[in-house]
Amino acid sequence: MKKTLLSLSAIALLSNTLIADELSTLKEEIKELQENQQTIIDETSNDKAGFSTVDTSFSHNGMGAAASKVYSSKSALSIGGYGDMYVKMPDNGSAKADVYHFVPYIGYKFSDSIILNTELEFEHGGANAEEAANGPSDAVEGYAIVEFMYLDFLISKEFNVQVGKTLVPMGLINLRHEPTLFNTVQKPLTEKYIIPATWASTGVNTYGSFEDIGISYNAGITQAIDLNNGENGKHEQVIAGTPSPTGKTDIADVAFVGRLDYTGVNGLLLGASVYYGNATQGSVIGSSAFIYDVHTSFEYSGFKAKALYSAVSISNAENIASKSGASESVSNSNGFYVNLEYDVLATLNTTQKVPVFIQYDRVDPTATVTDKFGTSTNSLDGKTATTTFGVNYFPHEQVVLKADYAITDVIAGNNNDYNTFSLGLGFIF
Amino acid sequence: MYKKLLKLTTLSVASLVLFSACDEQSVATTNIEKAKLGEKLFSDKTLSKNKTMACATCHSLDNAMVDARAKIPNHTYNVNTGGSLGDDNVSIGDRNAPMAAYAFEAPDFHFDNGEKIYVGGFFLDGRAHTLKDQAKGPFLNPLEMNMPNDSAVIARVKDNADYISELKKLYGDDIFENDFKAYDAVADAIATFEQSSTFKTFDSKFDRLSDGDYELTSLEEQGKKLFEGKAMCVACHPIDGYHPLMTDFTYDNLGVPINKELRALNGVKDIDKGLGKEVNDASLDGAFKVSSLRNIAVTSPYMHNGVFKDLKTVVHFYNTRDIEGINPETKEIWDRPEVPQTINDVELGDLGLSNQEEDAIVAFMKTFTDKKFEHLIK
Repeated sequence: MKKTLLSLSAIALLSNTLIADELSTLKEEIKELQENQQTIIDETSNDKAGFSTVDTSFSHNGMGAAASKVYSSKSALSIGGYGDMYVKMPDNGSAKADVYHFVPYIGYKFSDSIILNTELEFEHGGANAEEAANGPSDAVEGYAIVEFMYLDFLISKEFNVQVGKTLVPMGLINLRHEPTLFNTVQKPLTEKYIIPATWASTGVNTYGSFEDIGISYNAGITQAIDLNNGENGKHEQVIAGTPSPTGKTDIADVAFVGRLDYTGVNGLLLGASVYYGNATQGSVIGSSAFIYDVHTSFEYSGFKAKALYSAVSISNAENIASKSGASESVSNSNGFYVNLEYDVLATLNTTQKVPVFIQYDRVDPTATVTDKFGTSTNSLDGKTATTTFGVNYFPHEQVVLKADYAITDVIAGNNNDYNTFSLGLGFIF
Repeated sequence: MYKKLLKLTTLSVASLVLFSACDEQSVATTNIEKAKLGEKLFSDKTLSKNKTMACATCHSLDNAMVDARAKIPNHTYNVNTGGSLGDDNVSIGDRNAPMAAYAFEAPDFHFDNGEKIYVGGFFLDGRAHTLKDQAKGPFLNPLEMNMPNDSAVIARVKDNADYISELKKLYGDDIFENDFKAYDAVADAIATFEQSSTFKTFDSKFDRLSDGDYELTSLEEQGKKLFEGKAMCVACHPIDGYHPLMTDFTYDNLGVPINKELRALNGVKDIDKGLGKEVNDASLDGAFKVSSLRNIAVTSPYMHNGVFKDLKTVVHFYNTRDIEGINPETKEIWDRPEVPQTINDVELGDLGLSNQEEDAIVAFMKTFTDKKFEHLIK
């Protein structure tokens, strides 16, 4: 009898323990289900337009908030994007309106450590084959492309690997080219003709950060630029050398790209990036390209300052001139800009912003050109100094309206200077 | 894994650096030597049948790279007639020798699919697609240097021991094993010379203006405004950008009349169809390459057949071609075009320029003259 009672007690205890374990498991499962349900609600509720909102304060490996969205998204599938358009009214030509960019980002998390990130870009209103064939020359500019598409293998904070077509991690704009991240309607020319933004190419990029000392880095091997192109000796030679966004692109030569940033002081970014590799895709032997920039930005209580200097040096540029038959090839380029901004609503209790700004952007894309005989001369092609001042209005942190006035001093010749009044809008989501 | 990737990255960078260092080529030195050889070939009269004519005969290095031969004794020919007297001292070409300076800047001949027009190339009708092809032409032209074939040219080249050693050094010891290859090398050396600083100085008043070292006179300034505006010259002769070539390298039929004086000398009767004949397209008959306006003030006579002798006549022709204007050189109404059916009547023909405005345009075009040729301006 005693044994029987003991046995029954043991069974009851065991049952209670099992029930308690089961309850605990059930509670965890319910909690997980609730989280999943909340995620689904987050991702699908009508008032959030079918997907999660972008966290404007979030940046993954230096990219813009919308481009980084997949990394912070709770769901596997992430859709983000940006767009901008402008009207520009130069005093030396006709006014133009341009649906400049509409760019969906589509990302997908295969797992917590394997991520797909893509940027699809419709530029100048997209492509229209009929207009490209028969319409005005402006119509030919429109295109629809895959700007970047890569797989990101997240290993640790200190070391991760991206494989595919990525944004080249140079300068301030290339990684962060969303319209809410720069205040001018047009990007600075230094980050167009010297650092050829937007610049994406195929390769392998490693990156990571050491938060305790405020250091982050990128280092990788990527498709080399091809400076033996139809713009030899002209101010567009470098930008024309970036891999074509469409078609099968040459990758006979690769280059090293590296970047180091320091963010150890609150509000401060201080960094540099380098590119080194053969200057052409195998068409010219013995010519290499070295591109570097040093950059900084600082933010404090509504005040922002940015500055960047970049230079290009091409060794044995005479080899390119000789091979191409062109008169000359660019051997050195340089440029810099400084941008100061102050949000006049900074002291008010509002989420809206009205930054006013001024920017000085000086670019010399043909600082020296070299002919096939090795003779280098200074060229003024494309050399300009542009002072831009204007204002932005952020009615929402993801939406910006822009107005600016750019005074462009064309260094070559006289009476070639011009001024441009521009209006623009931009958004990210 | 990290170490492996870092090692791979380091090795890749190191190999890139080493690759670049090992591949140092003396391309510039080679090109300089080719140009020196090309300069000798360019001025060598022994490479014509009767040893009287060289490239430099019709493209004088001292006279704005055009034919500037003085009147030839006991000969009715005069370079101002247009056309050039050949090596046989009898034949006279039907076209005006184009200026060789800056010619190398032309793109290779091609059809622009976007604009749907022919662009670039060499000779006034684009029949040579590349600079090197062009250099091969005059040696074998019966109206010019009159050599029977490329082997005959190479035989003359071989008469010069220096040429043999230099060509072997620059193009390989086996260069003379094949006359075709050797002829190609000769043309390449000449083309390389034509790309040298001898042919491009970019130091005209117009260039100095761009560099901030010259200020236009009020007449030149007026001419510039007209050139860019009312006269529409920039439609085919753009002057924007740095060191413009002042041509869009396209082809056009300007409605130029026959050069009767020249035809009387050379006896040519056929219509000169220009590009239309080369591409077998009647809609392009009478179209000739848009010339660079660099050195235009010192490269008389003008037009593809040299029919006009004075630059102001050219401007007046553009201004009044379609309104029965008077040719100031003949004092008669403009002769009808040689090929009337395809002429450009959009950008010229009735520009409404005054006499003073024509003078201003001519004054502005004089600023296109290289410094070393400014003394030739009349």
